[in-house]
Amino acid sequence: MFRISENSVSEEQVMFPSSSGVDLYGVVYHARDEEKGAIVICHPDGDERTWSHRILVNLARLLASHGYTVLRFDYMGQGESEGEYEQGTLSTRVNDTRSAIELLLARTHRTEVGLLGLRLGGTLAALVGTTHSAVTHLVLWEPILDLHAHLYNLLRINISFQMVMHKTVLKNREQLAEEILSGGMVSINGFYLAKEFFRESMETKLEGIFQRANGKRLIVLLPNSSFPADGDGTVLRLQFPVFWKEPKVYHSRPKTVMEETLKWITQHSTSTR
Amino acid sequence: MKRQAGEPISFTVNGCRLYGMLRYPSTEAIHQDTGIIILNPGLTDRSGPQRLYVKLAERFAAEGYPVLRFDARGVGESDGEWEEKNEGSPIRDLFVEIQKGVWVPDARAAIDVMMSRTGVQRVILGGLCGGAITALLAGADHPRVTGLVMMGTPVTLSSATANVQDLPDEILARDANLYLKKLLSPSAWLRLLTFTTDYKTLWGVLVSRFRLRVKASSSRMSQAMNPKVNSLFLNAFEAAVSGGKRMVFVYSENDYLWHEFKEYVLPSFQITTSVPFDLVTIPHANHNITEAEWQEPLYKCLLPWLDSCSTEVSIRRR
Repeated sequence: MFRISENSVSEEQVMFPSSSGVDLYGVVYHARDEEKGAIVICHPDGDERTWSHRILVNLARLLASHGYTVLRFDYMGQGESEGEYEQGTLSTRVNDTRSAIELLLARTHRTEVGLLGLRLGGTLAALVGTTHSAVTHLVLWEPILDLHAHLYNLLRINISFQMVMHKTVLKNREQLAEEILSGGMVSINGFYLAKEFFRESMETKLEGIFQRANGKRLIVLLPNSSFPADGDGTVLRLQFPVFWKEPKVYHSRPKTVMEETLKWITQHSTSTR
Repeated sequence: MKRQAGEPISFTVNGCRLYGMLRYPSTEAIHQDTGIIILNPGLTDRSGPQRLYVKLAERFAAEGYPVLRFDARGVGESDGEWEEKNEGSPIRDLFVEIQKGVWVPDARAAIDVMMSRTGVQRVILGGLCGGAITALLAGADHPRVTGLVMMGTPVTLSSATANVQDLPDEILARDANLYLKKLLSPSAWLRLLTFTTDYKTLWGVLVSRFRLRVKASSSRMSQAMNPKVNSLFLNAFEAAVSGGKRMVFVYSENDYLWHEFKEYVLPSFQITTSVPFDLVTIPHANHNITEAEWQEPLYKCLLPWLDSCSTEVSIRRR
């Protein structure tokens, strides 16, 4: 059931400062052979980070083994980075992404970088991609397109929890939202939603963000996911496991999505130093 | 606002490079003799569910212990791969591998790393779920291990509870009562009639409940350890007891593993006057101890326990 695999990628753990005011943890996966480009991976949030973590590690290794230097990092208050989860806001996550880009550009002596994000990480990649001139490529896996709806879906998790604990719903979604906006915190499987993240997310409109983002874009979606018409980006619909939720079946390398992503990056990467 | 995350480290075991985070004591080294290693809970990374491990490390370091968290082979950032079928591998199968000790060499290597990096002479191993069973299997007869902190320890192999009929009696009774209550629910009847009910589980629960009633009326519970208990757990447990290891089992009351422990393990000790371990339960909590209000009692019980564990060893050594 277990095998020792040879990992030929050189990896380096790093702690680096974010403009959010904390040190972030990351791993640089050095390109094997001649470096073709630099890519920052943006992870999804909370529980979704937990379940997708290994897949993003394997993705980083795959890209590095095909000539890309990759930085995979943890947002403030998540994984190994400093700070508390509930202190993180949409702005701190954007700042963290920008700090990660700066680190990778400095490390590789490049002027261009690609961003690859999953779920909220995809949304953050697109948000940063609209303002950061070094971003030339975006790969977004099932990005969150509507933050308002996303937050209300998260609150549903709390309501399910109430049903398990109390056999009834003590607070509905509107009441939970009100509690957060008045300074309280609401647990989503132990990740606490706090006011600033909630408020910022509610106020951030994503219409057109995927069209406005700089550079070339690949958007990978499940067959039934909705997505607005995208100008010149590639929308690829693939069948792959929803690996950011707690699985019953273990997948460490969802083949289709990883292979198609690598193929697209290889075809479209013209990153320069 | 700032949290001292620690020092990223890596080490190699049997050709696998393992990655971790070593946190040094944040106060004067009160417990300079003892370090703590926290082991992966299952197929998730070393930060633990809801970063529970990061928070535990912070609390332990504040009490003066160096703390190492690392990713075992095949999980988190570390090397190594589980053999996967094309359609993926059932999680349950991988849990069984963990419960059979696949991570024991990694935990033992981590003890050497902890000792060489921090100078401690004694180590306490701990973890949740897969981390708990790994701690027991790796530490039971290890001369440097003085204590074991086992949270939500699985005492059977996961395969043993693959069938509904094999679940603890208390869980079956609870589920059967839930199904009976649903007899009054129109939506439950709608699910039943539109074929959206989980018939397999429903049938398993009701049949098992019937068998339970028959069993209760015809036999008394044996004092021997239940045969469903993982033999590796049993052997390691006995080795830990005879080796004088301090052990604390921590269970969340809303965790089916607590019911397994109560039903399969505890009856064996009711006839003895002294139980060779400490037992803590956290009211209302779930398996992963997700909520802050459940984590506080966890810290409150563990910190004095660790203190007594390391103090006792120091006294013994003198």
